[in-house]
Amino acid sequence: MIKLDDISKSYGGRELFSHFSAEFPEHRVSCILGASGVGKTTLINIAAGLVPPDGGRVVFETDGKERALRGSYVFQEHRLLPWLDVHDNLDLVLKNAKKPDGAFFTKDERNELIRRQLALVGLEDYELANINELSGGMVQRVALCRAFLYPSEVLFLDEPFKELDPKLKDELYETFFRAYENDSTKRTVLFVTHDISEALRLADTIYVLSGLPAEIAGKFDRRDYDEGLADRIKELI
Amino acid sequence: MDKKLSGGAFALWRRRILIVIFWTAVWEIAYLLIGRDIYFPSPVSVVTTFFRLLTEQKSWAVIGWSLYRTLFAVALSAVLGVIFGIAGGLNRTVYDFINPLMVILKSTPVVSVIIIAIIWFRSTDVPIFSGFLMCFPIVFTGTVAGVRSADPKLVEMSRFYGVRRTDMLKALYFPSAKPYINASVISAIGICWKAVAAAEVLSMPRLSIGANLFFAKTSLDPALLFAWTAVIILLSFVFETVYAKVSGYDKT
Repeated sequence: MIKLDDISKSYGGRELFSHFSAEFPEHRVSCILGASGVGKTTLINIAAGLVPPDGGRVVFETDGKERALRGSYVFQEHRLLPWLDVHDNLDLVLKNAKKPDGAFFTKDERNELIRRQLALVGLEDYELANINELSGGMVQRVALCRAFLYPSEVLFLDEPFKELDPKLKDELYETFFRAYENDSTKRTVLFVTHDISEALRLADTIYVLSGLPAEIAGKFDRRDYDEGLADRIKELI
Repeated sequence: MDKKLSGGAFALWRRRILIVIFWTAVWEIAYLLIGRDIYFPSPVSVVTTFFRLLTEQKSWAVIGWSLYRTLFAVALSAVLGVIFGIAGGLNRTVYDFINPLMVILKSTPVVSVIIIAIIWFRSTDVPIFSGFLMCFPIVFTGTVAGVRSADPKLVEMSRFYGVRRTDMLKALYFPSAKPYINASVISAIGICWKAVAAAEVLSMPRLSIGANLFFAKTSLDPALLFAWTAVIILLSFVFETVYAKVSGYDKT
């Protein structure tokens, strides 16, 4: 579980969050949905430890015990090194990663993991391709692949499908589900989006964020999903 | 397509040749106007002297020694400049410690460096030391700028995924800094030739282009002076071009 406890954060005199608290359950896909500028990226970056809050704290718990967070992240941009090929980009994050038993991966293990994960996202033929040779959808698939490849307990996604056309988005959603279903660790996923249909498609639970400072204006579980939900969410945003 | 390309290349070469002819004509006119070989030699006498130099075995020993001094100074500046530049680019404290030295070195007249070096070193090592001190700040500053140009988003990603510092250096910082390093090394090559020649004139190693420049002056032979200067210009141009080709740096 990721607990945001009494979080406050201001940027340039704008108070984005004031005593904000939320809990995102383990092994579930949670979505923070909100309009542009409401502070979604700031919130996910606070949760991931990339941005320090002005007040409050982030707690990460597994099986009821507080632990140091080990996360992977799919950013808005692919953030792959353009001068390395697909394999080396993926290998870069695995080299210093530890297996559950605390040992480092051997080179053969890393190669095998990379091959398997690339096959899962349909990029097995592009292992040695340069990043510049890949299309926008393909590079985001590599970024997704990197996030699932890295041994983490939490996966953060910050609108990674934002710049893609609807057809590519559909392909990426399928890729995401395939990787998520095949993920043996069944990670806790926290993603942010402004796209209601994306949230309804991917999330087990949607947290609607609105206001300044931002509050959770609504929380919807997958079992609550119905035809009118998109309109109700629109009103909340 | 091929025809078009070769036509374009032909036009480029024709333009270059015309530019050379134009400046040679300007030189010849200046020579005719001045009318005294002792002040200003004709292009014909300089070219003749230049080719005569190339036929003499001793000239090649002279060129070889000056080449060695220049390349040694450039290589030393490049290696140490990159090492300290990366350290300074990554660590503000290291930069703050080294930078005052670089500021002083950049503003120090090359003759001051040479005269101090003459006191400290053997005559053959003075040009190496002077060339190094002139070039090291250039490579250092270029490398620092290159390391700092690394995309902060890639840095953030690498840190988030716990990438080792050494891997970040190899995979992120060094490739980001490479164009800056190459540009600074190319400009260091040109400056080093000038610094080494000046140091050779003052420290007078037996086999050196600088000493030959000095002899040309004392024997009132401006054609020889111009010819040795042409050797320096040519060598500097050749090494800049070779380095740019080898490193894949686009000089244009």
